[in-house]
Amino acid sequence: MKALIKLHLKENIGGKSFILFGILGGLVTLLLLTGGEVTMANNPTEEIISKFGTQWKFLSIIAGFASVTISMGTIERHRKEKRTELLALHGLSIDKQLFALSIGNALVSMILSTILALVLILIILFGNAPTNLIGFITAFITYLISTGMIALIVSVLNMFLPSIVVAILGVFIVIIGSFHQIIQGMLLNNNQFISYIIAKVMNILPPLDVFNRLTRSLFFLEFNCSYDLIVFLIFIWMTLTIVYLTSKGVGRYEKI
Amino acid sequence: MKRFKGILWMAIGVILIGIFYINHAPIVDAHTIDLIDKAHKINFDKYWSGFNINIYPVKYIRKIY
Repeated sequence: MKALIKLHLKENIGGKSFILFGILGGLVTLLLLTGGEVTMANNPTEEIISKFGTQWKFLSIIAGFASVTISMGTIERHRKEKRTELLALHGLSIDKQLFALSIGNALVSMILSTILALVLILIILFGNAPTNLIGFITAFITYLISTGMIALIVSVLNMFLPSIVVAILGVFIVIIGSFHQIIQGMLLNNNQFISYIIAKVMNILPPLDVFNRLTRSLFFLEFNCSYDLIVFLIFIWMTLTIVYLTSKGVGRYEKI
Repeated sequence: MKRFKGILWMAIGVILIGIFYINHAPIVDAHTIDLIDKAHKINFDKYWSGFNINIYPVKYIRKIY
């Protein structure tokens, strides 16, 4: 299983998309840090908090899209190849192969999101960001895990859906997830029964904005949102369980 | 060993979901508290009838700087 993850990493790292996303991340960081300041009238937020907060938000959205692009077709492609049968004959069952590929997808998207945030890391190292080493590392880990979680969800969908449908659903999940609480608040305030049901169904989607709030609060050393942390941990647990169970289920019905 | 791992994994999930239901009210930061304070002063009913401002239960903790 480890060998397959290593192979998957080797095949996916070093492509053109990595350089492209590195440049894109750098550009977004520089643009936002030089002129991107989001403040509201009558609510003066500190300039530096506003700048870095927006930065984390934008980076996590781009990283989400990147992980969807990277992991949308991998499982489907793998199942069409002869390698699946060869590996199965050598003792690595299909469910383990699928699980290993999903984990591999998550690792690749984590590496990609690190490259996206490279310029931000340099700015934090050499500039005066309102954080310390522990705050930055914990924030960065939550940012990476939330990106990896999207890759896992996309991999699960790709086990029984074609890659184009998965790509559309993945983008939908990232967009809805990034504005999860705003959309849910609007729906709950609509005073209609159907809106209430949709808002409750939305709880299945990963609330990326809550994860992002956790990242920002850890980064600015203002951690007091234990609620966000619990939601974050529950979603990690749920996603891993779903990936494991789905790969088991799909592997059982696969014929060699 | 494999069964033990499974039980441990399920137990972790049950504990996490349990904590989620016990620790329901989120604690918010100073910026959000200011925003909520301001929002309470706005007459939402005039523009959006039936708007419920306290939709998310919030626990106030004022940070002392």
